[in-house]
Amino acid sequence: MSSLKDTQKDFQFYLFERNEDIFSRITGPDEDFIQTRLDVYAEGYLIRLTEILRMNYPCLQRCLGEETFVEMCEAYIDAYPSTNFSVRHFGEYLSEFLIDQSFGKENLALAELAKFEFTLVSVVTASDAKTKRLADLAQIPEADWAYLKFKFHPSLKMETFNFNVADYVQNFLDQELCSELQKLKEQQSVIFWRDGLQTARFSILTEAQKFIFQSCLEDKNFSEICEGLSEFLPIEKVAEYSMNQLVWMLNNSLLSYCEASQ
Amino acid sequence: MSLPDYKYLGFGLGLRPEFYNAVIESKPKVDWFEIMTEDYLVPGGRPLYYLDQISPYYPLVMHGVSLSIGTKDPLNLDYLRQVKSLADRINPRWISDHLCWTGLKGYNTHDLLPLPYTKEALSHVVEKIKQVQDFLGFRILIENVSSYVNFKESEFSEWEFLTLVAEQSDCFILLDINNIYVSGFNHQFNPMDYINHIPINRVKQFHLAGHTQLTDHIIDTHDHDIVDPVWQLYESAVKRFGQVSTMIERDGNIPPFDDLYAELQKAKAIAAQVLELEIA
Ligand SMILES: [Fe+2]
Repeated sequence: MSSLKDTQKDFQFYLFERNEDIFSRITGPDEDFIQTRLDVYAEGYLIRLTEILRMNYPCLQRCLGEETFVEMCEAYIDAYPSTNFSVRHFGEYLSEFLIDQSFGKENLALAELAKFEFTLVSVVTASDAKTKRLADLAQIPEADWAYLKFKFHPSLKMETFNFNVADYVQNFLDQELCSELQKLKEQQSVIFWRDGLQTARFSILTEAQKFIFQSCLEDKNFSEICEGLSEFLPIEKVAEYSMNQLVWMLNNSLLSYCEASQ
Repeated sequence: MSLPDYKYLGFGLGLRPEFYNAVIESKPKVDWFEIMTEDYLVPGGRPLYYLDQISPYYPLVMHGVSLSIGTKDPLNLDYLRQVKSLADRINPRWISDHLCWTGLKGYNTHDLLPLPYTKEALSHVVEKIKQVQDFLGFRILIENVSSYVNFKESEFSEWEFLTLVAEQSDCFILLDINNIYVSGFNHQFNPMDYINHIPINRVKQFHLAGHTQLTDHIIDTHDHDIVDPVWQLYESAVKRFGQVSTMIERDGNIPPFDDLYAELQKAKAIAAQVLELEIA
């Protein structure tokens, strides 16, 4: 092994594990001096990555409390050192990491909270696309309506949760007293997307809405979606309901494509 | 992209998200902006939108922190491809990164880690810069970093090493005046020895910044105003290198735009006085 590679290996080992093999390669009057100087790097490393987690997981931080959050960050930084040039990706595995950790709360709930917050963060820099507006709908000939197909803005993500993390985050954002993390009676589906340039949004879906979103993702057309909706609501309400949903999607920058295709 | 000509740009600032709206709305009299390359290597959203709005009005230069030119790992070609495609999008006047390494074995510490100044490190870095320049099709600028440790194995001073890197790889230098001051304090060398050694025709940009002074060392934090000794060093640098594009780095504790602008005017006044120019 080259000397440069050895030096870098030992240096990095100090940042990751505080292993002192590097000491003998550094100049200085004594070990204290060398350690102080190396700690500028080692402490900077922890502070920097902890700050990134703090930015991406404000609600998790509030949930765990400062001390436990910092403890969790250090454990995560140790278990999943960053491998991407972009710090945006650093928190990517926190949810996975939390599944079998214990930080004083139900670990699966914490893992879901982490998944929720990271999904919310990740839509902020998702690809761009022009979104359709309500006015675009008026251009569509009546005869084409049955064949309308829909595509979502590229930032759209749909995830399912077993805990009340969506309400928990909403309370946090509304600066209300945080509810407790609790297991839900039934699984919840939530969509995440970016509205405009930087506003990350989410919405809890009803069963009927979930059906609509899944159908759009499966490339079903408007008539097929309406047909399927009759499973969820009385047939006479389907037309009005589906129109309302479509208007809601358009008003919330969710659709990037809405055209008839046979 | 059109190839860089490395011409003098005047006095610039870092394009920070906090300033996007102010820059678009009032088009401040800043000669150019430096962007943090990695902030824009994203699929979409706010940063790229604003960059596209601003790039027609100001010369831009791209300043990266992830090239890791000194690492014994191979070059990260995926990163380089993304850098190149951003360059194609915004036509920067040049691209710069640091004389350092950021991690080994695929890890990224997100820090600018110091290199031992050895013959082995020299030929390694030179080879890598050549590869980067071949890939991009033009020469890059390499910046001196602040450091807190020295390696026993070093065979050159930092200024000798930086000079040899630039000459052997035929790259340019981004000379960070504050980093020279910080490292000078931390390693007890005279910053003027550094400045007087660097070849005049290689320096295409200066960085100025503030730092955090501790009892026995200084940390390069970019979150304070520029201190007097750094201004004095800047004056000496202008005397030696002449008219060089200058910008102020501010990454934390961001003051109002007008305060940074005032600091930039101070740099401009110092340069004008040294070069006996009228301030426009
Ligand atoms: Fe710098």
